[in-house]
Amino acid sequence: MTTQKDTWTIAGREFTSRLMVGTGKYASFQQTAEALEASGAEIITVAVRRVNLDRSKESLLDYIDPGKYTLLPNTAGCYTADDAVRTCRLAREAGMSDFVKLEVLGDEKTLFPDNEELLKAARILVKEGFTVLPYTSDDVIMCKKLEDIGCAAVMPLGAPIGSGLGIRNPYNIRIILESVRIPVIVDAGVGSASDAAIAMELGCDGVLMNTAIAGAQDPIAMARAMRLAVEAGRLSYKAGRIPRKLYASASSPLDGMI
Amino acid sequence: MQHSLELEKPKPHRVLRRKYMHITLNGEGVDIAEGSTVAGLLEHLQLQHERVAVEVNLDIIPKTAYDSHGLADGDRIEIVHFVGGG
Repeated sequence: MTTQKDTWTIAGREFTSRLMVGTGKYASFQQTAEALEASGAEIITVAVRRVNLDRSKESLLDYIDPGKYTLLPNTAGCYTADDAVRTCRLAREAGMSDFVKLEVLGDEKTLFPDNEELLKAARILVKEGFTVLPYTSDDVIMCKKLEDIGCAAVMPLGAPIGSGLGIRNPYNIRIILESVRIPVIVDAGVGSASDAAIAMELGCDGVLMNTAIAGAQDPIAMARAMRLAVEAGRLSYKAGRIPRKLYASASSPLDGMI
Repeated sequence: MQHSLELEKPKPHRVLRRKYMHITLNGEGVDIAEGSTVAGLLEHLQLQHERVAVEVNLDIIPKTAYDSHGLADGDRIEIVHFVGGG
């Protein structure tokens, strides 16, 4: 029996792994590389920052082969559309790729997106030919607007970045899944493997996480757990779960009872 | 903090003075030799072209122009690269 490949595409580029992983907050570059390897991720996020001029010469890309991954530079720390657009242009020049994770933050405490600035930035970037993957609130109106603008996917948060609270509103995620035709990737808030599985069982195309792995007591083991959870959640979704019922329904026959 | 990137002792038998330009590099004031290009600056900093992006006075300099783009006194330069992030 041949298993059909369950690949997915973003802007025409095909991927097998549905787990996307961030490269921040690890104990070392070596640990980052090992966690990425264990996760099976094909798409990884990076940040764009000033080169440290009085520094050790080591950098992340000394430990990670950029040819092995699709790099997704983010606009973390940007609070205005202008800053986000500037960062994306620099990222494109540094990475020679036009994939970007667009984040425009509204608030330091929650790191929730500033939706107004996000839409403004997305319009400019799509026009300049970027492949835009926006981090957004779990709001179907925002997701539809981002799709209409021409974003390649939408990335609604499950919960605040780094909070580990999981999918706070699965019903919103389901509504978003029904309403857009581009990939839906839950980004932010995942804490445990079961959170990742839940996202996939809702029908999401992928899950993006960083703190859940990097902040775990054993990041390499957690990376492996997340890989399995995303695969299990996806299989479960495609297998078609049983309905939820109020009352019992026996699993053993009544015929032949002694 | 000021960094002089190139220093030359004046020759005794004739007046020879290298001119310097003052630029802002990643937020810090730096003196560099007059006539420096982006490529020259990156070479001095031992940075690989493929790993960075360079912005001069808010304009991104394409890699193809690193050798030709000359820097000027008062330029504000940002050199960025990819670091770990979520």
